[in-house]
Amino acid sequence: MSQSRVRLLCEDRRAERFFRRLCEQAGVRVVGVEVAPDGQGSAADWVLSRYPALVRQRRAKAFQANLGLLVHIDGDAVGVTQRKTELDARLAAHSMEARQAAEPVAVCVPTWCIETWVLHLAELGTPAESVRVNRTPVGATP
Amino acid sequence: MLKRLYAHNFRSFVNFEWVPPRASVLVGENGAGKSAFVEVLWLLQDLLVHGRTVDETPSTSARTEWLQDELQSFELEAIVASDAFHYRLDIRLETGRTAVREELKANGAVLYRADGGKVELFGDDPPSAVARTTIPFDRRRSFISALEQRADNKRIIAFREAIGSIWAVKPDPRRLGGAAVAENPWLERDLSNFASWYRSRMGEDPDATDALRRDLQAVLAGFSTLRLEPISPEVKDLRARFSFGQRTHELGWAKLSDGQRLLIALYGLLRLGLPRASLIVLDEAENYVAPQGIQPWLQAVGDAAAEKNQQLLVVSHHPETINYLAADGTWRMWRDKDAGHIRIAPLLPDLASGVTAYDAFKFVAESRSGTGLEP
Repeated sequence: MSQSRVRLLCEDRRAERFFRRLCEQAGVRVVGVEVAPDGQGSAADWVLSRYPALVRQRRAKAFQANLGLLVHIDGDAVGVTQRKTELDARLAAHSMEARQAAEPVAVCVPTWCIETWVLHLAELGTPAESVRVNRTPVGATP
Repeated sequence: MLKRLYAHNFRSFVNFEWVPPRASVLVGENGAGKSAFVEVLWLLQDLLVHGRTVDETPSTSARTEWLQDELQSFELEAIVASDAFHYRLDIRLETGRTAVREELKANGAVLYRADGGKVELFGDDPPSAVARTTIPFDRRRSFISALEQRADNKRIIAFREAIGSIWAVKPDPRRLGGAAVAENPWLERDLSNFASWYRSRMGEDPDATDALRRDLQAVLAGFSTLRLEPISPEVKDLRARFSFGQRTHELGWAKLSDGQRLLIALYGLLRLGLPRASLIVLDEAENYVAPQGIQPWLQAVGDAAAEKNQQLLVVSHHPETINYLAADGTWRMWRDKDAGHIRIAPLLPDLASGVTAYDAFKFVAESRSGTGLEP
């Protein structure tokens, strides 16, 4: 059986590194990465905008059973449920079916953000999901 | 870390100033000055590290055509360890001959000054308000390149080493030769002597050489290992061994494709060279490499730079490269329509639209090219 492969759609560089390494650890080959550029506005909006196109690409390759799409979007103040609703709404706006349970499209919504997960996994604390995590690296000047 | 670069009367730089970020991709149409930025860094390395005379650099022939000005000026600000350095270089004609005038400050105090063939050293810790040592020296060269380390010039040496640890490369696959004529600790800026450099480095760092082999096994179909085949008492030929099923064969360097040679050199650079860099500047390094091949290399370079707190600036026309690195920031260079000189500004795509950085660049370039408007 051929190796599983995945494309990533991420909100920022830290999340991209986190999920890329997670996939590598799991033996899943990352075959492409899209990360929101540094720009004007919300990176979450950028992910929401790109989502339909990448889901469409994935669905067009339905014959490739081992190819998946992993989407990262921070929950921020909105939360997991609302983010998933927003993603479904973007598909609906493009006359596309909502994501199905068996579809190889994973949506990860770290809340507040990826640093919340990193701190928890690194056993450096378990910040509340309702609180914005300070993104300043340890030792850096804020 | 490079904090600021200023260049005047060089190529199309006229009072050009840039405060580069920690990581960024530089975009622009042809002739927009991206490679000229890299050339400024090379010029400073040639003078401050390699000890070349100003006549041995392209400085004077690279004066801005329309200025009719014989004075070229460069300034570089950098943080090295915890010291804030400011270096200024003027290149001008003195009695018919090209000469340099320099000044180096650390944390606001002058450490070094050279003017009119006279070098002044102000000491180091603490710097003196008046020169402690005055030396006559060739006015076409920087004495910084010739300075021997002593207790009272540690900061000047640290600055020189920081300039020397800038890895600014512009690979040219057509010039990548496979003959390792001798061990060479210096890698040419176009990677043309990669084989000789690899021969030198592989013996010094076997762990990195192993990592390189694993990288190449991951990105080159069937790749097994690199091998240096003696073809004379002095010269060795760099060869690549491949295995497909039960069959193994070896290809000489000349039989590899341009893309294969470049990937070997780029991963060699990543494993054997870049770990020692303070600033990594890559000028169109990915030409000749398939789009799916370049992103893993960029990821590895970006990861390594982030872990080592290195600065990474990448010049590119390649959509894959631009879009991947745009997460860290995109700067656009362009020629001012009226003045002709080079401008630079951050390119900030509208995120709500979902536009990629490459498409945002194309849109700005096509709609505003040459208008002189701020993007």
